[in-house]
Order: sequence, then structure tokens, then C-alpha cells
Amino acid sequence: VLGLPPNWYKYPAYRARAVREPRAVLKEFGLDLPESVEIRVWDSSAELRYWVLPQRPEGTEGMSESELAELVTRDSMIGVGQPRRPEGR
Amino acid sequence: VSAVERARVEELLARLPREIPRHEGDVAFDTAWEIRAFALAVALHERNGFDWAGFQRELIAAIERWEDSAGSDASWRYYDRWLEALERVVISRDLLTGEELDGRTHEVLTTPRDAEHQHAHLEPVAVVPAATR
Repeated sequence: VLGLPPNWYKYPAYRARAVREPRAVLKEFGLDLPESVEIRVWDSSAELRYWVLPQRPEGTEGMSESELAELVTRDSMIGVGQPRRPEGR
Repeated sequence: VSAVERARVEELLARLPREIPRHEGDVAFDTAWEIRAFALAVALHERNGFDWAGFQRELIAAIERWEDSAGSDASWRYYDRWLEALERVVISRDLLTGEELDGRTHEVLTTPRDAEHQHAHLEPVAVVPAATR
């Protein structure tokens, strides 16, 4: 998370649920991952931070950096959403 | 938690003195240690044959001691008595000795909260596998 995280982000109840039922928590964020996707949960520490790399949507081969940047959403940068799909493909 | 597990725990709770704190019908906790104390007692009962009637008696006794000694301004907290009863049963059943309990308490109290925070944890803390079909 860049900048100040929202208050609930550090609530024990939220953190516990993210470990116990990550699929359900992601779904509440609007990210309904198919059952065929394995979910791994990591915790950050003072020594370890994570950088989220949004999954490249299909049909973006050959797109320029600025075209790809247009597809990136805030949610896809914090790991709770997929990037936009390219239009008309 | 399945409906069967919930019913099993509710049946245990129905045998305890006083009303366990609840919020909108569900057992409610104010702090993380209350959840642990609750879960420890239930898990010991279900997995280690921890005698629930014995726990029930200790809890009644702990509440009576509190009622006899606490002043009218003392703040009541169900899980203070719960923990007292749990400790007594665990020690009387030789699951732990008083020294082990004191030693571990000392260890926890003297270990800084973020003692491990400088170490990178490279393994995931949880993995939810993909469904296999």
C-alpha cells in the first residue's frame, strides 16, 4: 500500500479473514476469482514489501507502454481487481 | 463454521453460568486474547477430553470468588473469570504446571511485540488451493 492505509486495513478481524477465507474477502472487493485459481496469502514485514503486478489481459500483445498504462486501474494495483480489457478485442 | 459445529458449541455454552457476552446473537469478544481463551477451552474439550463439567464448576467458583472480593466499582469481564477457570482446570488436570504457565507468561511479556518483524517471511501464510475437478 502506498501512502496511509485505510483504518480497517489493520483491523485484526479483517486480517484474520484475509488469511482464513481470502477468496470470500476478494469477492467482497468485486474480484470473483474462478475456483481454478490458487490463492496464496503473504504478510509483509519491516524487511519485506510486496509489489503488485497486474495480470496482463489477453489481447494486449503489441500494445505500447502508454496504451497498457490506460488499462491499469487502482484496484488492479492493490491486488483486488483485474486490469481493464482492451476495447474491441 | 458449520451449523453442526455451531450447535455443538452452543450446547456447551448453555451449560455455563451467567450469560456469555453476545452481539446480535453471536458470541462476541472485545479483544484477541478473549477469542484465544474461548477457543482454547473449546478445543481442549473437543480434542483432549477436557472435562466441560469441571470447567463449568471452576467458572462458577471463579465468579463467586470475584463476587465476594470485588468492590462495587470493580469492572466485570466474563473472560477474566473464564481464563482463571481455564488455568485452574489445565493445571489440575496436569496438562500444564503452574511453573510452565508462569514461565511462558513471563516469556510472552518480556518479548517485544515485533521481535520477529525484521525477518523476511518468504513463505505464504496461507494457501487456498485451486479446486480440482
